[in-house]
Amino acid sequence: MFTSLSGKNFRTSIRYWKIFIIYITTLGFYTPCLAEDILDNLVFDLASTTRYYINKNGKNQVVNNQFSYGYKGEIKLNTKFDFSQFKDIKFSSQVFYNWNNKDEERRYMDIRKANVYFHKGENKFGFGIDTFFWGASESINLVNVLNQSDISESIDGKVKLGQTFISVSNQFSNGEITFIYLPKFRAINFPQRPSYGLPISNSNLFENNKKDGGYAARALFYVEDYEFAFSYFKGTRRQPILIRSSMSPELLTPFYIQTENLLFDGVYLTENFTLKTEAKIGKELGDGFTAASFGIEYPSYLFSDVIDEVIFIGEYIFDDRKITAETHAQNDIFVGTKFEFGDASQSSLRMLYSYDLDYRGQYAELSYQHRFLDYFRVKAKFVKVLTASSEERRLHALVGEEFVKFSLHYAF
Amino acid sequence: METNKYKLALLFIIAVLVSDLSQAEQSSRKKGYDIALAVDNRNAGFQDSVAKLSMILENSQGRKTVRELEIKVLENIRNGDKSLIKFNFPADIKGTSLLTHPFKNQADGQWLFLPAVNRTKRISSRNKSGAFMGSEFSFEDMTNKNIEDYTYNYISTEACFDYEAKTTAVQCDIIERYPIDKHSGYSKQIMWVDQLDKKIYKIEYYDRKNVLLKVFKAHNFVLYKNRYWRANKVVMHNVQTNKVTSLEYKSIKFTIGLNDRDFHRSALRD
Repeated sequence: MFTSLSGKNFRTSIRYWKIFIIYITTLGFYTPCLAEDILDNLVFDLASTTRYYINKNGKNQVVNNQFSYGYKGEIKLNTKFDFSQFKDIKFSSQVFYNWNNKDEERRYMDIRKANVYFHKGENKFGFGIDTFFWGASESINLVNVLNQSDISESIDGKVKLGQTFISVSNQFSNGEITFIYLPKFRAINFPQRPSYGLPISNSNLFENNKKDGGYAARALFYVEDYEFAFSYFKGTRRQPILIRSSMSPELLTPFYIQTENLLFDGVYLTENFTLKTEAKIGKELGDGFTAASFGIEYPSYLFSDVIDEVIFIGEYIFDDRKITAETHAQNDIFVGTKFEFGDASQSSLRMLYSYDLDYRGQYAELSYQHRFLDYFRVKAKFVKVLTASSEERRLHALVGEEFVKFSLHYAF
Repeated sequence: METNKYKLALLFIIAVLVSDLSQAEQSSRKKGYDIALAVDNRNAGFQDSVAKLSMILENSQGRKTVRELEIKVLENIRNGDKSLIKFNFPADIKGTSLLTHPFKNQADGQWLFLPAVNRTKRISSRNKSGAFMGSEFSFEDMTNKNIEDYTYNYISTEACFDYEAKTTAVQCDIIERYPIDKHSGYSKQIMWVDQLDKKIYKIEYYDRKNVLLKVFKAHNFVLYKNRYWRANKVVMHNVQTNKVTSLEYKSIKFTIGLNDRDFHRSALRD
């Protein structure tokens, strides 16, 4: 009801999925040994999920999906082919499906990966669909701009949707330079909850009617204790601005603007701590902007008999775009810890708290993961906005939308 | 006058003793180093290798969990052998990779790629003693160390237990080595080295308090390419927690044409 994109995207995704099946079957039919290799490299991750919102109704008072359950499935394939003429051709695919009994927008399929990479000398060529990670910070990755965020899966933008691309990279001993062309743009599906105060419109608006994926370049360097990258991106900004349009004043309409970014991210590893930074300058809606984050990670091994590693994190983020920024952080401090238990189950616990220096908004997140058998593991997450004024629009949208989610995974 | 004579004689004896001890110490260091060098030389020239193996983790109650992995190694005489370890099982950690670039006279580079979060984490020098994927092997243990990373001492020679034949038919030199890296999790290691083939049968690892922490034992040696001995099974027993991790090799291939590109940091994601 809130967006019509999901149905269209779903059908499009089904078409992609069929092509994918035909592609795999054809490969297997003509080359049985490849089929065997493919089977060996297939990974299935199935999960049953539950989500519980502490408050009964969403802020828009339209939906009530306080408790919901669902299923999640992921198929991954990573395999290499060596043909007589072409060596080291890598094929990767990752298809994700989610179903939720209450929220239609959480019933969708996404091809997160379906790509081919191959080498020719020092150059690496790639095409297909992929998710890219750029950045260094723990809380929010300002420079991770290529893929659309999956708001249905994570409200912090950490989970990314697949993005079509063509790329060429040149590897040298201390780094890599990559050029990427992104032919298609895809809009976000907004779930019913967490709501943004108003239902989201079905239709999207685009600046100058442009909706291009864009193009990007990245030069990554590893120099002794430094790892840093300069990047450039120009195209449609993945995160929309939510506006009241005259066409549907009772709804919030996603407005996708054009953006041009010059980006920097770097890590400096000392003996005792790690320094991290991300920065971007750019141009949007005719104005320039600046956003940056600075962070420190300090690992402690005081409890190494029980906990392999405890990492204390402190980060500061500012963004002078204020309410048109891509994230809720415009003058925020993040503090947190990560516990790696270092046992055979590889349990981990992550706690994060953020404080807005301008509006005093506070946000907390707690997540835990534990494997109790080779095939089974559990994940749990709790998210709560402690306080947020109406001036702080992105965070305010999440007030009263605190939730706990739990999933039991079976991977084979 | 008599007293002065005695004093001079005593000083002379002490000087001779100290000089002898110092010479003995130097001789012990040299012999220890020579044995370590012989182990290193015995393994030189393999170029590259790929091994598939199972990692079996056993807790103090005897409960076992299994992981499958692949280890690629590229010989690098100048700076120490590079290695890339990639997990294939359990499914949720498939693709997790550890890349190691050893360096002479500086901290080794180690990077861990975690596919679940699509991120590469650099292992800091302070975390080298941390558990590698929950096993009894530390990140430090997974590095192909350089001979210059330690100082050595020869201790003795004794009959060494052959774990395969379950006999003591092999003569072993016992040497101790002290890590130069101040962030090493160990104060020292004592190694049992077969005199003939330079196979390492056993290593005792002592923690920073100089208390025995772990014992490594190698079993079922197989000769590859008529030169390179590899143990088909190695066991690391943590004597303080009573946890055990075994590595059981399924296959090893040599000289398959790996190059630096296969050990580039971008290879972690490949």
